[in-house]
Amino acid sequence: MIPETLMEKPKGGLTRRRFLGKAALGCAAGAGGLAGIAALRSIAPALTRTKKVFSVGRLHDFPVNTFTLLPKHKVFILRDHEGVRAVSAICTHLGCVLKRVEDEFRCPCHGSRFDDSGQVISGPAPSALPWFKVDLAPDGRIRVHTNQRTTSQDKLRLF
Amino acid sequence: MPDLSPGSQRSRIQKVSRNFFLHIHAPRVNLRSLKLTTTFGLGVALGFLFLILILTGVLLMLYYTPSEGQAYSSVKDIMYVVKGGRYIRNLHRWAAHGMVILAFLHLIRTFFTGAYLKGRRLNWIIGVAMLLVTLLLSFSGYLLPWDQLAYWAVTIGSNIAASARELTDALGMTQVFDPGGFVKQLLIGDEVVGQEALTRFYMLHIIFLPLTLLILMGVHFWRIRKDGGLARPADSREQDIHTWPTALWGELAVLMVSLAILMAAAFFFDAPLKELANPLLPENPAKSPWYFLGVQELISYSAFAGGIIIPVLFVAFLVSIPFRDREESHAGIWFSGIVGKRVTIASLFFSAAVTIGILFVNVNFGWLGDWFAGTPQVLIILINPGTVLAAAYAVWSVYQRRRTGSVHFSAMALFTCALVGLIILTFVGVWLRGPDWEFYWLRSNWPVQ
Ligand code: HEM
Ligand code: FES
Repeated sequence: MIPETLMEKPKGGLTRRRFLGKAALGCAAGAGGLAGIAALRSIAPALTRTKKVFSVGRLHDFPVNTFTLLPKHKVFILRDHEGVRAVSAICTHLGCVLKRVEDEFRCPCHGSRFDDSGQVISGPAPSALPWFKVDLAPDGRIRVHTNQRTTSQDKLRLF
Repeated sequence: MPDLSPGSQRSRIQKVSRNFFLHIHAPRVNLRSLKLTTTFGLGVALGFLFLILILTGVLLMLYYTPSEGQAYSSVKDIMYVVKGGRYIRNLHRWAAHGMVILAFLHLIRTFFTGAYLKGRRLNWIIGVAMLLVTLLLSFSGYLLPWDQLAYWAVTIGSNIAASARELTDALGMTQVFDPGGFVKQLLIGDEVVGQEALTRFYMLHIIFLPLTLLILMGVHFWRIRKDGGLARPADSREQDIHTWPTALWGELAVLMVSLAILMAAAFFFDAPLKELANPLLPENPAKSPWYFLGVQELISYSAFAGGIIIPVLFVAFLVSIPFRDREESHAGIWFSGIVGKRVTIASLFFSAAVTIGILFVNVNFGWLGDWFAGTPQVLIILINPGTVLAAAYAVWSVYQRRRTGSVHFSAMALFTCALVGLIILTFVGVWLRGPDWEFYWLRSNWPVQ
């Protein structure tokens, strides 16, 4: 038997029973919320298959004054008589792979065009193509860092 | 002793109330609800198509393999080796497209009969959610065959999800704060569409989205009962027809008709299967599934405005309708009578004229970016053919509000404008856009590549 005094409800106040009820609900909500956050965090990939730093080959793989599309990494490697640069081959509009046509980069999907320095000439692409940092790996191969941006002027100078 | 002979009142009511499956019906319905012109059977047909999708989907699952290396050949096996496989796949594909079409038609029907009025607000909102889930369900299924069509449609689609980037790019903050890229990663689990995307889409397609739709459907049907059957005018008679067997005959008829159409479509037309996906060679033009081509057309003006601002505004408008419009007397009457008919027709012409006009300008003369070199991107996000159209529709709706003095009719004006705009843009995206998203009147004018 519960003593009468415990069952009495003081007017307007918090009884022990109500307090415990609310506290239990609060704990359940808190635990559920935390579990939910943990579950949601697991959805965002911690690692992706796309490599951000990769070697692309040696200098002689890239003839002077050419743009070479590396399909696997979706970058163009530009070699001129001074050195090597790398520019993204992914259209900044909706991500199609660009083609080198005449003097420009063209997107086959919605017709965006970019000039040699990656600036938009026309089309729906909202921003210029990013240029990536290039350096030499310890084994002497050319290495591209897609997680480090540079300008279109910045080259790996080899001479 | 109550009369329990077959055909008696009581036995008819018990037929329904004692059966778990029939129990989603009320024991009696209103004669009006059974008339073809009240509903055109659209909701019921949607339910049946979903059922057919589950049955054919389970059969497809027996052979389909969700891996980058095998998905395509497993679908090919379904088409050319499995007995009846091609027919089952066709049924599944056409039923999926059918659901998208019927879901839009059902939305139109419920809107123009004022079926969101008189306490039916919750069911209207559930309906909007179901439309979105249906679109996602179809979209997630689109990737599974892993052919060129699928691969590039989903690449475009997943980048639409990342279109917040256009804004962060314009503000120069994408490197530090990239919500668009985050959403895209959640969706496809990687930077580009690959095995992760296939795994995620497969999960969404066979468990998460169908289950969500099933639960929403349960609530949807339960609400119809709770709300006292379909919306009808105040002066109509009470529930006067027994569900068993009269309403069930009607439903059977809808099932037969939809099945007949579906089976004929699956017999005569094969679901497309192009060559194996090639991540290096975009389709040109790369088009998302047809029901997103209106949005893709908007996106060709501005990714952020077309992919996020306008769709969000449209859905917000749909959800807000039953909160703003409280003119209950219009419930259950097509176009709310003669005034509504006039408003709808006027809006139809207005929207068609404005939409085609803006498209004409854009196709023939270009837009800000072409007129003034160096227009800042933020300005293009704010002022592009899509946002101009949305603004024109809004102004028209406010004008109708002034003219008729009724929120109801102004909602009708906006709804009609948006819908006509969507249809025209979709038409342009499907038929009039060729390689490089250039405008072509005829497919035969496309340049040979
Ligand atoms: C409203 C419901 C659904 C819609 C709108 C829908 C839509 C689609 C679409 C558009 C495809 C690509 C079709 C093709 O190429 O043949 C597809 C494929 C597939 N669906 Fe569904 N689906 C639905 C329900 C289901 C359900 C409930 C299941 C299983 C329980 C399922 C299992 C599959 C499988 C295994 C495939 C891959 C086979 C293939 O690509 O041929 N679907 N679905
Ligand atoms: S993806 Fe390149 S223009 Fe649209």
